[in-house]
Amino acid sequence: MLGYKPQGPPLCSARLLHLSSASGRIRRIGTADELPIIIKKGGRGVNRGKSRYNRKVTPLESVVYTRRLAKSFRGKKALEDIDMVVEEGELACLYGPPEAGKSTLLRILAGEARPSEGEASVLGKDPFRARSSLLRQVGYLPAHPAFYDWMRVGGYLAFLGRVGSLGGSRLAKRIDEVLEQVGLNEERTRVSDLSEEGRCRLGLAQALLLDPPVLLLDDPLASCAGESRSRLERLLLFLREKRTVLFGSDALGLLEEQCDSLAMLDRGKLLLQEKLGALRQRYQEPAMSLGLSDCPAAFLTALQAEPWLEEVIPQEGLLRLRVRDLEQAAFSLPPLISSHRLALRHLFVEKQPLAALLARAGKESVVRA
Amino acid sequence: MLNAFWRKEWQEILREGTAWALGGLFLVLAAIVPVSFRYLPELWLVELFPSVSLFLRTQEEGASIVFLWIWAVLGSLVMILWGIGSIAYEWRSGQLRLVLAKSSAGGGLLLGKWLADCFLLLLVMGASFILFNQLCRWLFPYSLAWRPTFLALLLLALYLAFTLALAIFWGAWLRRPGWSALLTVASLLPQFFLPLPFGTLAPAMLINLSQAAAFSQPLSWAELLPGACAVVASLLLLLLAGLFLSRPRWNR
Repeated sequence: MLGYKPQGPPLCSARLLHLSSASGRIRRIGTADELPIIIKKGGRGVNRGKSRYNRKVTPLESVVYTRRLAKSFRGKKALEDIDMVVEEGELACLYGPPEAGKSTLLRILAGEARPSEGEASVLGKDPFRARSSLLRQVGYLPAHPAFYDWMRVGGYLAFLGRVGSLGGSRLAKRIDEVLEQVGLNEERTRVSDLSEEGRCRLGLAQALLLDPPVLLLDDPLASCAGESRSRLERLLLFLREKRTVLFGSDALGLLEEQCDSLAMLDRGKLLLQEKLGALRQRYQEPAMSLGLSDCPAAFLTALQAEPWLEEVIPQEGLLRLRVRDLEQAAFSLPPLISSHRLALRHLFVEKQPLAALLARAGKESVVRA
Repeated sequence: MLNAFWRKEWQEILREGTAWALGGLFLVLAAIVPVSFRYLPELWLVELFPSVSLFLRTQEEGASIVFLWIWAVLGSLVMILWGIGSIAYEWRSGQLRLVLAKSSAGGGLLLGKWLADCFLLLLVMGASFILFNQLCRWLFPYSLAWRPTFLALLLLALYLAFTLALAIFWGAWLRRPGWSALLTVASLLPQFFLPLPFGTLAPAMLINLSQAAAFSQPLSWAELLPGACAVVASLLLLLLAGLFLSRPRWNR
């Protein structure tokens, strides 16, 4: 089963699970539903002598994995039955309104909080029990991070680097690299003198400091708006290279549109988790925008007679075509235009915003664009 | 890593003015006590201070006792507020979250904090003692006997360091300033009723030591045994507190 890549439905319960042995060989061990039985049989085979949390029981290629994860605070449920998978190299968005449970889930994954039920794994390890071994591999940025305001930017990063066991010239070099990556050229500035955007950048810099392969970012752009938000969105898209990034967000912007997968939380429940491509394929309304040199009535009549067309809507000098079959429309439309001797100005397939897709998916109550 | 925490704590103490405030307060007290005993002795003989009057034989001895008492009482108070404030405040503001996301060495963090604060305490105690002794020489003339004073001050410092560790322990466990302060005071109280050597840490015993210092009574190095116990107890408390800090509990 080497090289198996999870396909099909987004929830992992039906996926095959694999066990990484100490020698690095991967064996199929069953489905997620069989998992509790397998764990109870611990102490046999490749897992002999290993504690439960050090066993790598995760779907293949998943970096972040949760199964029936729940968290309660004094009887109040903050998370319920969360089954989630983030694969290697993905930019995954955890979307939901405030109080949906995003921060709690990220805190659990960062090893800051302990789940009440179920299990979580990051890079195949329990983030709570094996926390110390994950510290260098997971960069965590909590929501509204607080820094030591009296420190200078460089000094603060140097302190965190030393705490993370980096030191000497390696640390100095890493600080330079990270500050360049996040575009913060204010090493000598006091943290208290930084703008909101600067503080966001510093938060990202500290998460990147130990060069972790996984980033868990809790609403990293919460305090930024307008142009500074766009700049940071572009920065995060750049930072995702060679990393797996899971970030929480309560708004749908450029970054959310560009992510690979989207998990949607509301009141502690996971409403959906899906690859963005699959989401588009399922809920995208097939539509095209057509711009022509002229629009004679004969062309419109011929267009409306096409079987693939559902509706023509004139919009600001363009024609918006709602189609039944996008492929057939793309194939038939150019010959139809040329047969009427019209010049094609532009033709493109519409890409609907994520908010519209989620609304079509029946999650209008949660969407906050 | 301990070095990183120690350096950060020490820089913070200096930059945020804690050292200057604490140093200033105790230097002022070190100056006021002998001056008031010299020029306003009736102030200390009124019925408001019967316990002072009881021990008072001469002005200079009374000044020495009061000076050490102030250290024991006010120092404990400062240590409690300091220990709880630094941990509970840093936790509540979220500053510690970013630090603990880089390292699981909660014990190292607390030990660095404790060492830096103890170092500052020693500096302030040393400076204020020198000032006090110098003023006594000018005003009376009188100077404290070196050996009993040194031992009394050292034991006092160890007692204050233990108080600080206790406050840090409760601060790290509860992470709520009010409750932490209450429990720190409650944990200090049993010392009044405990037998030796634990009871030796009690302020009452420190007062006895301060009298010994003031009256130049002989004191042996064995008097430091409870202080050594206090240091061991402090380290154990910090280790436990570090575990609490780096491993969140169920309800967090």
